[in-house]
Amino acid sequence: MVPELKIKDLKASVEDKEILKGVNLTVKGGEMHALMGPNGAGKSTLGNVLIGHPNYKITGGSIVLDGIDLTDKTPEERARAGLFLAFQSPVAVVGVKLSTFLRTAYRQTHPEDKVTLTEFYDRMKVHMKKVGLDESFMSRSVNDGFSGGERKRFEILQMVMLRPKIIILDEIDSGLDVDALKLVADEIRDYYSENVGFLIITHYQRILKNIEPQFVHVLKDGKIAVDGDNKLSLRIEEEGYDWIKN
Amino acid sequence: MEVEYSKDAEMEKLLEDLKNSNVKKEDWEFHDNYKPVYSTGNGLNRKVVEEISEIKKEPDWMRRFRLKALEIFESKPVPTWGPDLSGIDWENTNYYNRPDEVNANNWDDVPDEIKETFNKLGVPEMEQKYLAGSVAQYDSEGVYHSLKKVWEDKGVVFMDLDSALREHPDLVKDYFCKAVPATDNKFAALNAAVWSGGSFLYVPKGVKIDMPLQTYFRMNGEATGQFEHTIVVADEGSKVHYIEGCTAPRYDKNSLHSAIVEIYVKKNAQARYTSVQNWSKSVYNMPTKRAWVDENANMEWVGGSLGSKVTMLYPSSYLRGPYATTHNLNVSLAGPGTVKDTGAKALHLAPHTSSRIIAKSISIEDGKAIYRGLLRMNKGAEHSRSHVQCDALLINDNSTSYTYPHDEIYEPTATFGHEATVGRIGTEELTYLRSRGLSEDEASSMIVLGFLDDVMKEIPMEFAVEMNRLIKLEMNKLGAVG
Amino acid sequence: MESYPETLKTRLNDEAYEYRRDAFLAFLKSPVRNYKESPTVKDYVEITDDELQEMLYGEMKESKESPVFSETANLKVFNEEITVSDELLKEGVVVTTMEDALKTQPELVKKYVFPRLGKERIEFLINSAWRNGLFIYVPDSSKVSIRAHTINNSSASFASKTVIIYGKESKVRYTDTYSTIGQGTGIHGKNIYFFGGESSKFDYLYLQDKSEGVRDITFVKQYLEKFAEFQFFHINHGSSKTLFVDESQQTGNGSSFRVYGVNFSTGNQKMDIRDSSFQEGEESNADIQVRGVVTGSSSTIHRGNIDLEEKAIKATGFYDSKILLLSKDGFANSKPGLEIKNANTRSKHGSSISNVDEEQIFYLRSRGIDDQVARGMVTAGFVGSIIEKANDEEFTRKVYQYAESLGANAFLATN
Repeated sequence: MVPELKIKDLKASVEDKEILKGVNLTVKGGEMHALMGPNGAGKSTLGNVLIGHPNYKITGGSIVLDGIDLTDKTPEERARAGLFLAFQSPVAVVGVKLSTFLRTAYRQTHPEDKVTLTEFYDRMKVHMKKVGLDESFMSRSVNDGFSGGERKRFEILQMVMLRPKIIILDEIDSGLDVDALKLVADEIRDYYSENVGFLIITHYQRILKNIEPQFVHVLKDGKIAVDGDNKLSLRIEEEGYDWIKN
Repeated sequence: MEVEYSKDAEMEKLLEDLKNSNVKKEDWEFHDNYKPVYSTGNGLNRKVVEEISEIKKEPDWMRRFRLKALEIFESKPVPTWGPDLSGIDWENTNYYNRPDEVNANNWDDVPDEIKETFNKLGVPEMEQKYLAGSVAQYDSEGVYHSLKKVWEDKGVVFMDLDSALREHPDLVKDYFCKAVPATDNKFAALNAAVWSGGSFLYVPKGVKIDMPLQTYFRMNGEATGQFEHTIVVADEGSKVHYIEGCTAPRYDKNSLHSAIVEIYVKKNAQARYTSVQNWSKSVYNMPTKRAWVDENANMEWVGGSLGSKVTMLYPSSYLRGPYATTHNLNVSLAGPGTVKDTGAKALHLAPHTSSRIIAKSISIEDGKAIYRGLLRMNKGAEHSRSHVQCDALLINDNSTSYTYPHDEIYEPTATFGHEATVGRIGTEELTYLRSRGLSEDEASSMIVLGFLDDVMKEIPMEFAVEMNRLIKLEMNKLGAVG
Repeated sequence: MESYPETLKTRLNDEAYEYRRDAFLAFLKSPVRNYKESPTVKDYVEITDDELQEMLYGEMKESKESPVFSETANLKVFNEEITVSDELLKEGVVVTTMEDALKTQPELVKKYVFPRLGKERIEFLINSAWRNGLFIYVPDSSKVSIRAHTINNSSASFASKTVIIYGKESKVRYTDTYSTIGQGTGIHGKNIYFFGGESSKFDYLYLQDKSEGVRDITFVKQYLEKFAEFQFFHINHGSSKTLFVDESQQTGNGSSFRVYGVNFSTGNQKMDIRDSSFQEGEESNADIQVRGVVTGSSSTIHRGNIDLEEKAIKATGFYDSKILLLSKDGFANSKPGLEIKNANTRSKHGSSISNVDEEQIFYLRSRGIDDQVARGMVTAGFVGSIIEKANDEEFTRKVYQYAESLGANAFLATN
């Protein structure tokens, strides 16, 4: 079945301030979407609201994945349904080992898979190599003392290991140098298939040169102001956001 | 030690001042020959207390209150958990010294010798330039008070507490010894028994005073006690900044200063209390300062503790209403032969309250700087936050520093952090600055000021200049530093 | 307490009589601390004089149950009997009871034990009233690995004294587990003193997991000569009331003292965990890290003092305490102190008390992990990362087990 995420008239606020003012967007398997927009438009808010961050309150609308309403679900229920957010600045969890963390998460998102510990770790090592993380990271604490780039690589590692259906990448290119960006983009393209849909949140056009999205949306003042294809992102690179009217 | 260098232009100006200043101790440790008109003589007993009340023609409740407080004072032992207080000569202290009948609201009416003293300290000049109002106290009594008309018209009351007790008796009675009861500690009880002078400041609802109000305390007599009692009430939605400056001449005999400061910050109000004390090194400085902070109100304590022989001071904020906040910034300078036992207390009694405490100390020669603090989060103080930071700088090999924080947390949703460092001026920092052409003295001063920067920038300019001069002076006496 | 000198004469009239007597005098002279008037000092784990009397006059009761020792133990102590594996007793290593050592090792006892009466009131009393304990001697340049397991009857009350002397350039790894049998409410006092020779290395792993009625009072001291390195891992999990006082005595230049402590208070347990350094040696260093987890109606207080003396030129001292307060009825308190008497030093302390970080929990949940599981993982990581440094599988496993066994109830009260 081709997955489908339907965001309908989504409104959300933080500390009583409305940030999302009715967002409509559908992401299907096999589709690559880019969400662009000026600073403060609510891009990161959308990512956090989709995965269920407790600080954001949904005040209207719905989030539906494959017919299941996720609007009132907990973050873990959304993750288990197949939603994945690569965070812009992932938090460090001191003392929790990367290997334990990923294995626990995998067991809870894929209870049907009876993979052995060794097999799982072998699989992990293969992908660690691909995203450019040394094996020694397995016994380190989650994100603890990681550089900005290492955190981003680890987010991508989690994505390929947990095999979600709909993936939101929040500013995945920030903090990555050119080589690392290429590795990450390769890993994203490898994972991309008819069964996976992407929503790439970005301020700049940089990553979009490596991954060409079919759909580009511009979020402005809490709403999608323009929809288009990759030409839209090129125009934004040249002209900025000022020409877009709400 | 890490030092952040301030790029602030004002700070650069301060440094310039510092370089050019050539202050001498005599600038404030002089004493004039003014003789008190009335004095109760040395020692303390029922008769002395009754006499003080009699002279002041006080209402009966106050006389009875004083006598009760005297009993409490006598029943409490001298605290032994802190610095050595055996140098306080209770018997040979003069508990009440009255300069004159005068309490003027024009400097011309102040007796010449007293006026000259305040002139030397620059008080009238500051009043003109920066202040919305001021009170001056000489020994036990206020000798001068004024308030700009615009504030008087809005219902602001600012005068010495004795005058306030006569002119606004009910208002005073509502707040007197409520935040700091006489039973609080031995020195609070003493103040409640023999208090004289201090300020009374009432800011009505919604009135926001944009210039500070100031009181200047001067202790002149030898072996005198000064026991002022200050009450600041910031009514709902008001805003006020109150400043105190304190000095005394140098005598061989020890003097005792034991003040009470009570601050009431009502709902949505903002109050800032700044004090810079530069008592001479014969003074035991034992004040009790406390604020009650109600819903969504903010209390800021800014302190510079420079002089005195021994100081024990822990300004406290009782955060009584939701979203109440307090900041406490303090600089202590423990010069040669002196002890600074200072700190802060914050009690979180309601949800969503927050406190931030920054304490900096500098110990010079055998000066001893102690941080002692209490942080308490009561059960039900949900989602409250606090951060305490205390840093000590030791200037000489024989300088010492002690840090005794105490943190009690009864609420699982509260977040609390504490950090303390002790260090000295790093050779590398010193060398770096000198390699850019600064003299060793200049480099040390710059590092010291950088160390103090977070607090200094909150202190009014004229006081900051004074503090910088003093720090420089203390360090200069030692010759090369580092 | 008045009749105690009689007891001393009749019951404990051994080679250490004068030492016991002097220690008792020191106990009598030291004031009972009363800080009621102080704004900042309060004792939360109070040991009353009645309790101390129980400890003084208590009996070593016989146990009906037989003890179950850890399989890896090569030194087993059951009440007053000790069993030592032969492998330990090689190359001049001595492992015996204190009682025995008074007779067989008079020189060492005279040199190390008798001159040190202690520093604190209860510590003095234990030095006067000890009834059992171990005496261990490791000669210069030897390498030894001791895995001790001490099991006591939980209803017995007693004081014990253990002394470990290890020579220069020796290397010792000592795992020391204390547990009990039965559900008694005895009071156990113990002093454990280490004497580390020049350039020696000692790894000490301590675990206290007594049954929930026991009151446990422990004083640990490390006397470190120059370049002696002492690494201390301690876990406090059992007992209703725990007073654990650890202080280094670093007279040696370049001596090093590292502490990694973990404690769990649950139910109605009260724990007072103190780790301090006392540094006189030039370029000596101390680094203390303590972690506590508080659940139920229990209370934990962490105290630690870094004391850098006048002589301790270029010394460094760091203390860091973190407590997770997980329950509404729990109480946590931290009281770090710095006493710096020398400007040519570096020192720092930090402490924090909070619940688990909600951002961390959210991050784990966003990957599909249950809320409860996430909280358990973060808590286990919080304490586990400290103890893992000991590189001891048994200890690491215990700590994770303790953290995980806090179970769902530990987190119910949050949010």
